[in-house]
Amino acid sequence: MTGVQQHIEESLAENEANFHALADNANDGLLIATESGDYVYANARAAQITDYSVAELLKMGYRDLAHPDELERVNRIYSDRLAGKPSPRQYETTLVRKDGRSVPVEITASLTIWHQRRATLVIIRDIVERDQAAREKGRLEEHLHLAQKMEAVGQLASGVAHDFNNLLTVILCSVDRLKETLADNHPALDTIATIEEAAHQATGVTRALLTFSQEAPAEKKPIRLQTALQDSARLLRRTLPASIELVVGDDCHPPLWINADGTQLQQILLNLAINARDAMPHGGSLRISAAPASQSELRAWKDVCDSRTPYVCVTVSDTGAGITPDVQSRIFEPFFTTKPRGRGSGLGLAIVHGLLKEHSGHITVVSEIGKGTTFHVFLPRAGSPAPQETDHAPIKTPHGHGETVLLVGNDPHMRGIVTMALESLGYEVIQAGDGLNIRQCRERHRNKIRAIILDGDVADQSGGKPLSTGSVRSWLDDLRQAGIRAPAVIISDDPAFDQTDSFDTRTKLLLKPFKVPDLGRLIGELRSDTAAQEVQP
Amino acid sequence: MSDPISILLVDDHVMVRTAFKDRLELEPDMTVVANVGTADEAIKEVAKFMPDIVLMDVDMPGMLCFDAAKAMNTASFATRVIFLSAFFHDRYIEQALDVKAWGYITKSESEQSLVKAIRDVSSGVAYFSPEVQSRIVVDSKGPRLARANRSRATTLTTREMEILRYLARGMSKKEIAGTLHISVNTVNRHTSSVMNKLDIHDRVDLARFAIREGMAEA
Repeated sequence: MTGVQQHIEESLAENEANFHALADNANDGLLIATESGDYVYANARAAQITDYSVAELLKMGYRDLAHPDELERVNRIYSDRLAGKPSPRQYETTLVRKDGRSVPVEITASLTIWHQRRATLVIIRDIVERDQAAREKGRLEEHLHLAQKMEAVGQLASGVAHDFNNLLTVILCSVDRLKETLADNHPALDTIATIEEAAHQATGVTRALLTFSQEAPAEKKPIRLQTALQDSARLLRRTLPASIELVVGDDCHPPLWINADGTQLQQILLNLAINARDAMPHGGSLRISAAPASQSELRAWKDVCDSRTPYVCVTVSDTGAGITPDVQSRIFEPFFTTKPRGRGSGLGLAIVHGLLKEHSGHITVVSEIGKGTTFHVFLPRAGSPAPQETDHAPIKTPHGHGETVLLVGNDPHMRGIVTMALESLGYEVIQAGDGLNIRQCRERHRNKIRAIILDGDVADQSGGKPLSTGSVRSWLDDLRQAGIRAPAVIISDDPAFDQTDSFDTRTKLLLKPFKVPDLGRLIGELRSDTAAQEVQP
Repeated sequence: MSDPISILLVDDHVMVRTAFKDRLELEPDMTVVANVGTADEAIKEVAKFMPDIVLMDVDMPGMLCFDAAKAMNTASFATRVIFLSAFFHDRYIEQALDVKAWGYITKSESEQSLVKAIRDVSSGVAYFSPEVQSRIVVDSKGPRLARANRSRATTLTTREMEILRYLARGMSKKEIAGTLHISVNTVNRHTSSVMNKLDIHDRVDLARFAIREGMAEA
């Protein structure tokens, strides 16, 4: 063998090795078919896509892989290419795998020379994943498009609502003035009442618009879902006509907790129920139930849910007219309604959608014409809250009956706030800002003061530093010596004001911070303690 | 007979101001001394008239009403501010209490409520709805609103909150600097701090956050 020949053969061997390395690592299937259509080369990926081995493929031809429905078209393309007629270089078709499954592929074919003979190089690309990705992308784009649309409309709605609300204020003010100007039996009063009612209804619409635009942030707290459904059912029974049977699912699951705004959750259910009511003008059945969401339910909307989070599913199902597919695709759009003009704002389900977004939730709809509609509301499930976080029955604040309370403090704003709260609890409040005031009040109202509230952080008479424990006690002593035996509450953020050794038993300390109802409760307790002491022999 | 309650009306809608003025002047114990359309004008009128009551819309162009209320407290110790808003909003009520507002009333409440609010406040009694009252907490700094969930916004300083509110209104940094009488560099510094604290690095998203938190109207 000459050196040149040896070099050529080595070169050819190297080229072939390179070709196989490239072909066997390609992401696409590579096949080479003779003029008769038999395969003479197949790479590993072609074997993977078709489920045949490379050896099996080399005993087959393109007709063996073509789907029967596609065979005629593929034959024509193949023969046209060999005959030099115009034919598509790239096309989509379906192959039949060894396991019988059909696989959609994209074919790119061109003429080549294989071992000195004309042949066809076929590149096969599996487009299942590409199609899935495209569908996924489409769904995400649709979701994003809806979200953007909702946000834009929300901002527009919010602006409109604010301006509209100002105009309503003017209308209502003018109506009020008119009413005061006209005599009680004036014939225009009925018309004015209609205007007033319409303006109040319009205020409700602006409120709905602002709710839709999510101006009010959700105040979330742990809520036991089954309890919330029962509470909502009571409201719904008043809203739904007697011809609609309301069934709220039995509490067959362990307590399901969610972190949600109770009012907004109720609004979601109410809006869905109103939708169901309108779908059942001749009556029917509305069923509401809750259960942990199954994995298969969650997979259906995996693009928007957090796969690591457990969800609950609230199902709201009616036996109404059902929703056509074209309407289903639009029902969550703001201002979309199928109701007659003037009957619906088209915001009900859009609000539901918005509120669920606020709660990281999602809603799906399944409907069959003539049989009914089912909405599935998915919300992230929360763990059982610690006992202190659960809803306690509110502690009732005892109310006064017009008794006079002397309130001493040098901050007029704080006095104003505390007075407001005490007056709403039924007390009459006399305010005193300094020592001079206290003396005047003592002289003037000595016989009617039934409780004293003293802000321990009040400045002394010269307006200087806050009073010391001793000063507060001397003021109280002064009041006691004047015959005012009413119970007293000292408010302070200084724990040194401990009444146990400095003050009498009719005096209690309320440390800041406190809620205003706490003050009402303390006064109530002190008054009943004092009354008990007075009846003791 | 004591002097009538003097009132300054502040609302950017002329029709609203006129309607309120006409209504309030039906009350024999009330007089509207002036009505203006911006918070900046209102501060000047407060210094001039020292009214008993300022009835001020929460959302107006220009200077923020809460900043204006602080300036009014300084200009006239005896003047008491009542805020008017389209709806109840925790964030607004919190800010109102922070600037020692005496009342917060929505425009959808009845005129009788408005008249009562003015009379109550004038006589030294604050006016907030019962739902708000039950949530007021008094601490060493004064009354504030108890909130179930504190948001990231609570990590911002008062100045940063101001900057955020102005940014959310679409004001340029130069305009903000002019309004707050600080340099553009200082505005830049506060803006960077706000963005870092909230982990929001886009002005549009900052505006969305501010709207959601009730710091600005949409």
